[in-house]
Amino acid sequence: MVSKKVKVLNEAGLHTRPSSVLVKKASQFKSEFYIQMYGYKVNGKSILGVMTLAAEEGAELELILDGPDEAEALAEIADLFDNKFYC
Amino acid sequence: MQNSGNKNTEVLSARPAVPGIAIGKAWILPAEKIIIRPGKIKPDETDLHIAKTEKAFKHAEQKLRDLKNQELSSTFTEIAETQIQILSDPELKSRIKSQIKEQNFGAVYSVFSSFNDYIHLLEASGVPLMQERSIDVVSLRDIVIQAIENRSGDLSVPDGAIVFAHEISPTQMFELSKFRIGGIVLQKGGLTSHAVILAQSLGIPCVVGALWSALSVSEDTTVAIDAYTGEIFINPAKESIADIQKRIEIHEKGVTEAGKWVGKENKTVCGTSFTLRGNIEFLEELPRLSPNGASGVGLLRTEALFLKSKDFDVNAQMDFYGSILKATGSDPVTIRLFDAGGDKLFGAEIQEDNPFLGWRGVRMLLDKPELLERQLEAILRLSGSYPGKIKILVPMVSTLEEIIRVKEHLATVQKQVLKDGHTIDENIPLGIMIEVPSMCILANEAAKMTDFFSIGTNDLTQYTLAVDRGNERISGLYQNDHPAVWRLMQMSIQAAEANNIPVVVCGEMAGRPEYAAMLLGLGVREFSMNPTSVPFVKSLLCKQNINSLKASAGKLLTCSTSGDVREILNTLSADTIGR
Repeated sequence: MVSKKVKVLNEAGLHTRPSSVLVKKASQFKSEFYIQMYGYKVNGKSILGVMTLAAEEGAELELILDGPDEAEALAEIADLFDNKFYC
Repeated sequence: MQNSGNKNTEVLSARPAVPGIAIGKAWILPAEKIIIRPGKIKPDETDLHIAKTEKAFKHAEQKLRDLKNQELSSTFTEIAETQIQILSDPELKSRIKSQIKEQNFGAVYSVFSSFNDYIHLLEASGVPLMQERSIDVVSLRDIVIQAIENRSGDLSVPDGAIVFAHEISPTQMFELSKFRIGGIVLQKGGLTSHAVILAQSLGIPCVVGALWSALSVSEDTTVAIDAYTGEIFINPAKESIADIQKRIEIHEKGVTEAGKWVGKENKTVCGTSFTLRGNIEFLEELPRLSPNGASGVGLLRTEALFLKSKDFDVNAQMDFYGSILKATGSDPVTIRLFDAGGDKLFGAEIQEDNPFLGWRGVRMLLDKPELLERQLEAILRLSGSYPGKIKILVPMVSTLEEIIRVKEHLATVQKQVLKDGHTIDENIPLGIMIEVPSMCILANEAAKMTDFFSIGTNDLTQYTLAVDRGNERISGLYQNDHPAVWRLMQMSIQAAEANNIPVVVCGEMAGRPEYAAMLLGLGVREFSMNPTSVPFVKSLLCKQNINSLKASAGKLLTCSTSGDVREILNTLSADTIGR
């Protein structure tokens, strides 16, 4: 299992489009993926789950990955946050 | 007025949103409401209900793909894509399954309650953007439930019907776009709501803010709308039907007549050239530019971009501006910097007593330089790929210092963008909106500091006459033909000429043929308007002789009342009808 703390950098937060990009990316990997935010934990491959986080700009999230391709998945998903979900 | 008898004639007034006139039978959009009870099933029925759900998901996905493939609007395509993605959400699916398998609820209730868990979370999130999106999840839920219950849920609207609705969701609007609708009457929905934009691109006459009541309008009521004046006639009497049919005839004749001019050169009889461009706000409006003969975008409003996402993200802006620059070929695009009140971006705590006289346009941008600079950065970074094509327009300028300060920010951003290694157009023209009278009075000084003027006639009228356009009690005082407004415009036009900078008119006046003709007489050569108005304006301008327009304009400047001005303008509009 690997994990990493990231910050939401885009001004509008994790709204629909970024959520969609995030879930699409996560679904390419075999590893299980959870996002934890202020004690609230959702499946990162569930777009509804990610949307209900309603994470705004500046929110701190923890990405948790567990599975055969966890390291690669974590790196690519963390990149998305850094690039404000423009890939 | 209206009580029991529903045959009484009633005339309502509403806000014109998409011009046109229509008469037909009313058709009322059913409210999307479903009542669902938690019905239990027998344990041996669970597999059947799971299979039903899976089938419904597939069905819903197909329906959304069909809608999406019509490619009527990028916003809708985006919504449909997200909805399709939600249909493969693993958590949602397992939640529904466990409702059926473990709780023994039926398919419909399980879908309903599982979706609702998320909908409630979105609504309770306190984040406006997510609260707004919950409507898409609600509509998806209802599509799935309709599929389970084998109800098509598809609407069926008779040809030529006038649709009456409280408001229309994007999904409903797409359903409706399959029919030949005569007109749309909305209770809610601003001029920039998605329903209105689509109605516009489909050419369906539409009025908004209409307080129609289900008491006086029912399915077989005859109704007519004049979306030029905003009038709605319910159960019109014979004479008014005849009058409306005449209006429709004149309108259609005008459309055909104006259409003949689209391909012709923009020149008056005597050979004076002029340019007509489009005012737009949404990508959906792009296809309306060239068919109407508009050369490029004379006013790109950027409010929708930010109000939709409240995000001044540079990349998102570049996507938007880039699409418009690409679609307009070699024609120029004037990008107006964000022009709205602070309350739109920062919430209700910034409510002001007089928002039109308040913290808006350049005033807000200068107080929030990070927003201003992000917008300038997006524009500059694109400018390298489109040299000579972009112009920047600063809204709501009332002092010369504001121009200086915007230029300082522009210089800062320019330096930064160059340092970051981007190629840019270093000579992007920077112009100001002439909409506050102080700028007309200081036009000579302002012209020396800017590259062009753009006269916003609506706000100039409102600020000159101290009349709030939205206040019904004084709406009679809002007069585009007030001589003071014309004299202020003339001051700005003269100052622009003396300083050799172009002047554009981009308000409502530009789109009204007789006003545009008079402005041509005053020396304006460039107009920007709603793209659908272009053929009408062009057909009148092409028939004019510049010398006689100059003479009329000269006479108009000596007028002392709106009535006198109107009389001179009427000689021109009589001209149009006479042909």
